[in-house]
Amino acid sequence: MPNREPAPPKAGVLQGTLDLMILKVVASLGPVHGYAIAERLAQVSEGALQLNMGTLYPGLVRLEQRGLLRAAWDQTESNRRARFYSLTPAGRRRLEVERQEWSRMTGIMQRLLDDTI
Amino acid sequence: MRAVLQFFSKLRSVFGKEKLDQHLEDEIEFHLQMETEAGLRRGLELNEARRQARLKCGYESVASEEIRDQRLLGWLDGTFADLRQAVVALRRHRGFTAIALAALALSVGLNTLIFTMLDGVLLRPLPYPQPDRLVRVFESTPRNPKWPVSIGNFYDIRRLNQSFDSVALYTEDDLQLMHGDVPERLKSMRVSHDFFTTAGILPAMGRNFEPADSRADKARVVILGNRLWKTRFQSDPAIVGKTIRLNREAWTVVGVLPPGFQHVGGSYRSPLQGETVDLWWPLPVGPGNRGSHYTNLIGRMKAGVSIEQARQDALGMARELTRNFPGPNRDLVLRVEPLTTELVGQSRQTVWLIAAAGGLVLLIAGANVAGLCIARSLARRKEIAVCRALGAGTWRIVRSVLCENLVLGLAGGALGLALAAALAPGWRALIPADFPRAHEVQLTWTAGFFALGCALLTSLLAGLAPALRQSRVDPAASLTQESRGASAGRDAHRLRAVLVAGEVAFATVLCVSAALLVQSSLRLSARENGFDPNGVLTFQLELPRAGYEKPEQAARLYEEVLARWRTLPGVQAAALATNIPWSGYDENSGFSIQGVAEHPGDSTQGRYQMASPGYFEALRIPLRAGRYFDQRDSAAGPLVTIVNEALVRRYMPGLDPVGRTLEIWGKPRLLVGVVADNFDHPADLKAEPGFWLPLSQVPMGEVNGVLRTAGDPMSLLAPAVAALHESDRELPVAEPRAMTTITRAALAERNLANWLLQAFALLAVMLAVFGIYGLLAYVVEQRHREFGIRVAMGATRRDILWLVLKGGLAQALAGGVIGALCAPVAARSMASLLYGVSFGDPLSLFWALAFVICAALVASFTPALGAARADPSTALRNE
Repeated sequence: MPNREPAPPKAGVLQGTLDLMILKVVASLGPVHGYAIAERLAQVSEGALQLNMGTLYPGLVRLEQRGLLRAAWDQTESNRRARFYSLTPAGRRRLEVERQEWSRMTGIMQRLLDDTI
Repeated sequence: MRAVLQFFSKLRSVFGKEKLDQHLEDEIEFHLQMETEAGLRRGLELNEARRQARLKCGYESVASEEIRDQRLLGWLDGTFADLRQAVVALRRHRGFTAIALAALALSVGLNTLIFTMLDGVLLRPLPYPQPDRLVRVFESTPRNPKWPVSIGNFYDIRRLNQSFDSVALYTEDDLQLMHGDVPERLKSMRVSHDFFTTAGILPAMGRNFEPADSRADKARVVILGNRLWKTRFQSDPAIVGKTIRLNREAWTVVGVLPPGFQHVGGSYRSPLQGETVDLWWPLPVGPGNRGSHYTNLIGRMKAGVSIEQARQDALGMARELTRNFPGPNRDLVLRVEPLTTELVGQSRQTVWLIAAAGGLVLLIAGANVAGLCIARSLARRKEIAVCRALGAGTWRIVRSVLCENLVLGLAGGALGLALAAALAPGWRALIPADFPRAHEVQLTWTAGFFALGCALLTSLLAGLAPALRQSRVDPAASLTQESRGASAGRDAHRLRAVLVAGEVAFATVLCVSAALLVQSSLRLSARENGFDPNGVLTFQLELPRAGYEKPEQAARLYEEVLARWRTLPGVQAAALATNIPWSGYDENSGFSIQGVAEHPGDSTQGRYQMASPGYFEALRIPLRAGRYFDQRDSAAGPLVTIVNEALVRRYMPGLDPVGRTLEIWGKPRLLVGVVADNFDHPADLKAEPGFWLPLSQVPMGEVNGVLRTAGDPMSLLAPAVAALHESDRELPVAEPRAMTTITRAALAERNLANWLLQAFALLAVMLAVFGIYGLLAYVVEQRHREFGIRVAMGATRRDILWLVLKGGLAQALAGGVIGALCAPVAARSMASLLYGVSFGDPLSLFWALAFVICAALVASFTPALGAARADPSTALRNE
């Protein structure tokens, strides 16, 4: 056993944040496939977020089932078939609600942590 | 509105499942490709890029499972996927699958056959309405604990009882039917008029017997069994009221029983339980006769009456009978036994013994499969660690592991059932024809369910331990450490070792049991049987009343026939007698010995039989004193008797018996000879006192022909019957058999248990051998490097060989000793089949242990040799 396999880094995604991340990425990139979403998240987080498929695709299916995303097969630039996700109107509304909720929450956390009394 | 949309989305995801799965697979494939290309762009080799892509993204299988779990029917769906994967995995690991399947199929197949026996003989209710209300009643005295009820006592029991709806008597009394000019003896029962009412099944055509039928002894009426009506009377729909010729007289058919009616059976003057009776005719019942005991009593308890209440009632009646008739009913007790218990009798133990042995084999097979599963699970640890790292839950992992066992169990059950079906005809042929309810042993739906349930349960239990352990695997530890030193591996190995030791222990128990039975058989066959069955032909004949009303007529016929038989070519000896050894004959009578006082409380009585000259010579029953019967003992000659040694030992100890006078049936008879003991039942531990009277002086209508020849006894049958028919063309001969067939049949049940236990013991040892082999092979593989180092450090090959062998021996000894300690306890369960050996017979223990340990050594040798041959340099290089 010369080469030991490193343990895969755990994606420490906070429960509930994954949906918001996906919604946001899909909203900003327009119709986008799963790989691009993972890429985008890795890029933005400078490699801190390595989503594996076991996390990403269940999330996508969940969002699609809740009617927040819709998916369609299409060609990529490199002429491959991929499944592109885009937001439904419900998804847009949801993203807005979640975003506000998140800001409110982080604001509270921020104030709490900065409190030096 | 949104709810509706969601609903449709869900529907789509259920009904469009296949499509969605396809989507997912394609999507994941695409994702991996993109990831691989990114790797290639970073300058990796294609394979490495693929590997890293997979690693980065996790196993695709997990991803798709996680997604499936999102579904409405996620659970089922996931299971199906697991099952598919299990099939794939099982096909990949051919060796594992083959051994596990073989162990399961063999043990399940065997146990299914055993179950058919258990079910048919013990579990299935008897074919009568409310069979649990049917009981047999016996007269019981200290001397004769289980006797038929006398007709006079029955008459009173019918009048006095408070706990029975009805009671009835039955006793075998065969009739002879002529069809064409061929006489045929038919199994016939004489029954009191309420017999069918008691059984709860009435004739399908015509009428039941009525009290009037049995009151008038001369009213010759008969009820036909359904089979006889079909075969001999071509299902004649107008048979009722017609006259048929039985025993050379005209009889009227008053009824025909429904198809499938089974006689209630009995061990005395009755054929076996089942469709064994052709004709039924009335038995007169009255208050007179209380001295003879040849009628069997069956009763149907009232609804709601318990057997205990019936027993109390019977005790009360017995007291009443003793008070009114102190002579014939001295010390009388009435015994009440459930019909089921009574029918199965001693065979119950045999059936349970076989079932227990089969269960042990099943347990061993289960332990075997469990060991294999542990080995599999160790091999899968990495894979599972990855799954856990990817966030698969405990249940998911347990489920995926158990799915393999589920598939294994289903396949094993199906194979086992197929095996059972293939072996069923052979199995039925193995079961002795006179085994109680043997006709009920058949492969039913119940047995099919039993087989599948058995296989699934065994397989799932075997998979459970490793599966649960799997789920506790710490991913980090497994992925970063080598499994060799991991504690999980050690635990698993320990569990396997315990399982193997258990297998050896069970196998030892079976071997000891088999050895005990073998010893018993050896002792039985070494025992003086007191006769030589080889070369002897026997058959039954019965004289009808018509034409043989006077004793002289019978005596004349016997003399003529015997004279003719003795001149037949090849006949060394010929005789007629009421009894042949080992036939279960059991007719007893009191007598007294002149000049010897009777012990108080021990009336002198013995089994009586009549025999013509030549009987003892034909059976080669040794003469101990005096002489055999000869022509001097004619009807006109002085009355004589011959006794056996058991009678002398018991009633005339220390006296010279020959020349004494015995008073039998009111007449003094001179004791002219003493013969060696022989047994009426082969399993009798001691011979009963018995005496013989010359057939010419006591002519009986029911006798056996006994002829000895040097060649094949069956070749004598045709000439013997022809010689008989020269005297009386209408005399039928029944049940012609070679004496060896009778002795074989008498031992058949014991031999079945014997043979099966040997087969099971062998199978168990084989399974244990597999277990030991697998365990050691694994050890050798694990310690490969260590052995290499040892050899490099100067250990000899013999050292290594011994090191491994020691492991196998330790297992065998641990299991063997535990098994040997448990064996005597297990042996108690087969007490009725043991003869002349103690439960802890040291010789049996020794042989069984020796066999198991030798087998263990054989099993250990291959891996040990492999280890000893290992090249140290490769072992080290592999690191």
